[in-house]
Amino acid sequence: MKCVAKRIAIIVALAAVVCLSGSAQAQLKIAGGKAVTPIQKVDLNVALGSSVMLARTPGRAFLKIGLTGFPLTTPAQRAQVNVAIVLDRSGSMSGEKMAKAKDAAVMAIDRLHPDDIVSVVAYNHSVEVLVPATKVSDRQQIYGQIHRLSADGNTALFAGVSKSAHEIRKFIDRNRINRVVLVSDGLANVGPSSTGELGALGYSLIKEGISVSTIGLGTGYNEDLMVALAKQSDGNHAFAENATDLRGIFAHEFGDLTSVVAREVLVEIQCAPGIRPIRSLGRTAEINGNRVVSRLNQLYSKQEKFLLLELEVPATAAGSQRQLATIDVRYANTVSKSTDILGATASVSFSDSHESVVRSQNSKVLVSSVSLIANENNKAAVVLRDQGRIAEAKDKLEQNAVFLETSARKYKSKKLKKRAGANRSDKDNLEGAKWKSRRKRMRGAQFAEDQQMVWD
Amino acid sequence: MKPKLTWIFFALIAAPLIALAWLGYTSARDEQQNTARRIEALISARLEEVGQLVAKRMDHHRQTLDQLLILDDRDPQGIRQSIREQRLVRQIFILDADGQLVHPPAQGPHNALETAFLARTKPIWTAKALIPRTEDTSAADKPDWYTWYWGSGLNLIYWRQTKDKEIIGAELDRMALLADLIGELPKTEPAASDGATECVRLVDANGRAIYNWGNLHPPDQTQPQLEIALEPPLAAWRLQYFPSSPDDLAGGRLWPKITALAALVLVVIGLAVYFLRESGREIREARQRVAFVNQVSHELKTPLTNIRLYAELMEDRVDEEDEKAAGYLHVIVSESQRLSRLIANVLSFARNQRQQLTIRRKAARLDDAVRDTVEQFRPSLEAKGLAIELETEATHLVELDPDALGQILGNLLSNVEKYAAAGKRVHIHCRFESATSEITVEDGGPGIPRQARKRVFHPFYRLSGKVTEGVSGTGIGLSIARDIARLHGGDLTLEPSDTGARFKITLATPPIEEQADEGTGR
Repeated sequence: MKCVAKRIAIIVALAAVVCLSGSAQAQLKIAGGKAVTPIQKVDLNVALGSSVMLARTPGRAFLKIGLTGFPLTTPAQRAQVNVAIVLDRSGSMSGEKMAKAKDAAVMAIDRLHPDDIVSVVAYNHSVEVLVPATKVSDRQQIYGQIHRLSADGNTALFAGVSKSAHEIRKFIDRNRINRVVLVSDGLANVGPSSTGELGALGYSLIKEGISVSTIGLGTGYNEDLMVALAKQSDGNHAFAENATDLRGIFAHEFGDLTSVVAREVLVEIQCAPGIRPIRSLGRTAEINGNRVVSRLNQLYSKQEKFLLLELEVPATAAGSQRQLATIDVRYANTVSKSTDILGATASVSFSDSHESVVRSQNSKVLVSSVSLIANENNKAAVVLRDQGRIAEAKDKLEQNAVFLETSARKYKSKKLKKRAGANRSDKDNLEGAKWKSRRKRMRGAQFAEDQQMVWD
Repeated sequence: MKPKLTWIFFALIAAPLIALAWLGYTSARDEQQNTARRIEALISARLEEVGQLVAKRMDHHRQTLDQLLILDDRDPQGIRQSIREQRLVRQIFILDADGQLVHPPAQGPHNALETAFLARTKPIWTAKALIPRTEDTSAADKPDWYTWYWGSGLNLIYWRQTKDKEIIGAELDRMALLADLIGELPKTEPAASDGATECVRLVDANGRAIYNWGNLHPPDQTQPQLEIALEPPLAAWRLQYFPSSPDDLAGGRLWPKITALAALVLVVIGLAVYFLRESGREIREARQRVAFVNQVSHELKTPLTNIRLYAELMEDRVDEEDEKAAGYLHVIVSESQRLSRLIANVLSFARNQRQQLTIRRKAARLDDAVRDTVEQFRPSLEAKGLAIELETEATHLVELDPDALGQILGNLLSNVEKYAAAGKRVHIHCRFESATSEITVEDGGPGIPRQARKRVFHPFYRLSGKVTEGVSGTGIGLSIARDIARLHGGDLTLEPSDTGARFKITLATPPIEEQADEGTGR
């Protein structure tokens, strides 16, 4: 089966040496038409930065494993959600922030189906479960509970999220999308409150299939902590500079939530002997020797999420071909309710010719690589700025902008050009009153880049 | 008079009130202490219950871990997959019988989590801290907790030794465990309508709050009312209880009682003071009245004496034949005598009130003094048809105030005249014995009812009924008579008798040695 698929792919790709064999695609092509594809699967797209590498010298290869959610044909197809809305009700939230947060929560719940599960948790120094996990059928009762909320006291963020996870667990189910949506405007100051501790909480929650989306409101919250929590649990993160932004953010968040097509996506990459995975750019991945494992809690309809690995390839003779890795993907299909398994391999050939290397370049993969490398540089600039080394941070951002501009010209990428502009803008806002808000914007953008969060 | 009354007031009202207040306070305090003890026991029980909840949850996790640590599949990928699925497990490790790491594999490769694990647990491996307590292999398989402090707090390892003397253990993810326990612990309920609030707090080994529940938000540095430690392996963590205010248990319920009691005491004292002032006013007014009467009596005394004097002079001069005139004069004399007795009584009463009533003793014979008085009354008594029987046996010369005796005896005879005329007789008997003179006055009238015997001597007391009807009187006669008798070292008593009233006057009258010219004294 794999062999047949491989041959077809080779014919289709003609001169291409790299072999992509997403089994879903292969089946599609064999069937020869969309009409007879009642079972939709996630699209696995494995590609290398360049399918030809320079021979006789050790090199680095960028391996991109892309997963694109299939479109949902009817709204009824979507999986039920089990969502907990966690609202910070500490003193700093009082006034417009609280009002807008309540509005946004009500609006978001309005979008849910009666069979969806919702719970609402509010925390200050302690935690109140306003709405214990329940079906959305009695909306008025739920809204009444939300509206009675007022703000005062401290910020027990850890406990708030812990308690909401407890509510989620009451209805935890393989076929539901589990999500905590956290809105906070302040620094956690009761219970575990460090970035590492909240990151660890996120990491423990994804083990249960619970993602935490974090929405930072205003400029008083700890963006590192909120980003860590979202990143470790594969949720979303957004910065709402004004309370009025909350509506839009909730709309995006619940839009994502109600378009999940795959859950508990496990990506395993077994590198061939001699090939060493160096790092995963953007997403976190567990690298055990030459075996890489990464987990995505969910895939959204029509959105591509990808893993980009940097591999070390040893010197190889010209004209030879080498398999770099085999990729196995497993996930729970929320429409067909089945566990789907996808597989692919990535191979590269070697040549002495620079030209053939350049010809074989996959600009999409390279743009992603450049973008993620530039993202790492952007993070490094924040670290420098945090240490007070403003001049160095500015240099870093300027260099990064130049790097992005050069690459943008090379790969004719508007995205990279835009990123170059963003880096220049960051550079000009490292000081003064704007820095607080800019840092949140930067951390938000870095998160979005790492996690391929596309909300704009 | 006034200071005395104040003391009485204090004794009768203030002292019992103070005693009552003190008793009330102590009983309320005792009750409150008991309540506090009961509440403390209740809170303690509640904390223990929460502790049990945590212990139960830890038992539950222990069971899950027992299953996990069987670890049939020793393949590193399988173990790593288990770690990815077990939310409470941060890392799994295996040590061989020699204490060498089997997993994470000693020779690598390690993923980032394993590298971090090896770095933070290095002290455990170098110190060989996980040593089975016994060589007995059957007991060795019993899993156990191991706690150690690393990073920001308590970390737990659950481990067991296999029959092959391998050690298999799981490091718990502290954050996952915390989140799990917080999920299980009570949540904060909406504020109660009665405003009762409290806070229960779980704190870690460093005293940092992990989780609070309850509507109260105790300020920083507040000491908990009660604190208990959790059961091992979380013995370093404590549960603390904060009441809504420090005297929620100590004095919250005591103050209202004390306030109520104090208010009651104040009201009673206020009332008492009011009545004291009122009675003081009345006494003042009465005293003013007495003073007025006294004044008037004084003013009356001199003209009356003159009237009597001239009437008696006139009586001597009037023609024997002119019976009519003699009769008129007699009435004038007797009536003025009556009036002067009345005045004497009033003045004596007033003096007695001021404690100025005195006895002026002089050498006299009781018989003579009695006879003088009786003679004064004879005409009016006989006019009412009363027969006077006078028995005199006290001829000895004694120290006596004849005026005082006359006043006492006059009051008694006046009463006989007024109330006992129906008895037709009055018997007077006087005798002297060992420095005491004794005079009894006995009539055949209706007598005095038993229940009134004591009160007839009270000032302003008058017997009611037929006897006193239509008869004028001030009600001070017997009272003043007894006071005078007492001043004279004796008494006036009402003696039991079959018919009529029988009064006995005793007077201390020291005898005087008879002089040679004894007879001339008369």
